Amino acid sequence: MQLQAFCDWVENSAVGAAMGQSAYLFPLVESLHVLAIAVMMGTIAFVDLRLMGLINRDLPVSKTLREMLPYTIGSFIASAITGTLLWTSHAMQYLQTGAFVAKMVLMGVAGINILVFHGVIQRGMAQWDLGKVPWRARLAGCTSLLLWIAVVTCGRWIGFSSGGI
Amino acid sequence: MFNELVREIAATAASHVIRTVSWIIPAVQTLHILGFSAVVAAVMLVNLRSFGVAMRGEPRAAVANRFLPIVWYGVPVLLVTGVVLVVGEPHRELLDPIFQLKMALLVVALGLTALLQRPLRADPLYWDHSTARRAGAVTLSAVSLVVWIAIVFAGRWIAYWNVS
Repeated sequence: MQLQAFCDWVENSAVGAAMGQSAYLFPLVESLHVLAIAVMMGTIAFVDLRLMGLINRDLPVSKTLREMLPYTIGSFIASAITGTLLWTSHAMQYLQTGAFVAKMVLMGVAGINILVFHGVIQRGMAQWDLGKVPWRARLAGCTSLLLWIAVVTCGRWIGFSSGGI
Repeated sequence: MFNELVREIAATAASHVIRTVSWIIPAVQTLHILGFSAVVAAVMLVNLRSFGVAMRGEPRAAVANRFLPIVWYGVPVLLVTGVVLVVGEPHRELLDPIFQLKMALLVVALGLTALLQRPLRADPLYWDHSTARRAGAVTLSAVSLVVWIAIVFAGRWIAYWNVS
């Protein structure tokens, strides 16, 4: 019930009300959300496919990470802000949508994968910057790619759930 | 002209299947999103290289060779998934001015991308020979980036324009 009260407050706030009622605000923010996701998903895929040894094998892994990370982080922040704005329009309804909850959980798991990669696997990177990528790093890349694909899939499914929000 | 075509497409068995099996449209839209994510990110990196922002350590031609094939392989994937969506809901797309604008912008975007890439094949330093050439590359890239972003926007607005 506290959750219901919180969601009511969000939906009735100036931002939530504007997002829910304006005819053009939701599509506008949603377009920005999609654009941010495209940049994020694309740059994540380039890193993951490099880790899996499928593209850009002549480009060191460290350089790939250095070049892509600023765009991944920037577009993630943009996705999170626009995504939160979209959520304020129907806060409670989204929380009751399976695809929305699954998307949030999968993002959490993808976040753990990122922490494991940067905290543990990446440490020995100097040894395999250009050579054969060890299986642990390949697995982290493959896991990341599958998780983010699942996140995008759940995201698209939100629009088709519960009679369309 | 389009009305007739829309009726004919809508009457096909394929259109009926795509329309009535509930998971097909979101699944194909998801593939479409994954495809244009790769294309948009690749275009962005190549264009930002023109501005001297991304991939600064690498020559223009190397960056173009690395990322533009993603565009040329990705666009056919987008066309195939896009055609499935059009066949499923022909009235929603073909009769929609936003969809028509999106297709026109796509032709422009592909033209601009080819225009930036093509001279590099014969001469990897083509865009580096003079200040005018460099300015040309920056202009082409800026327009290309704006057009590609407009395509993504137009794609999303199809869902909101004239829903019938």
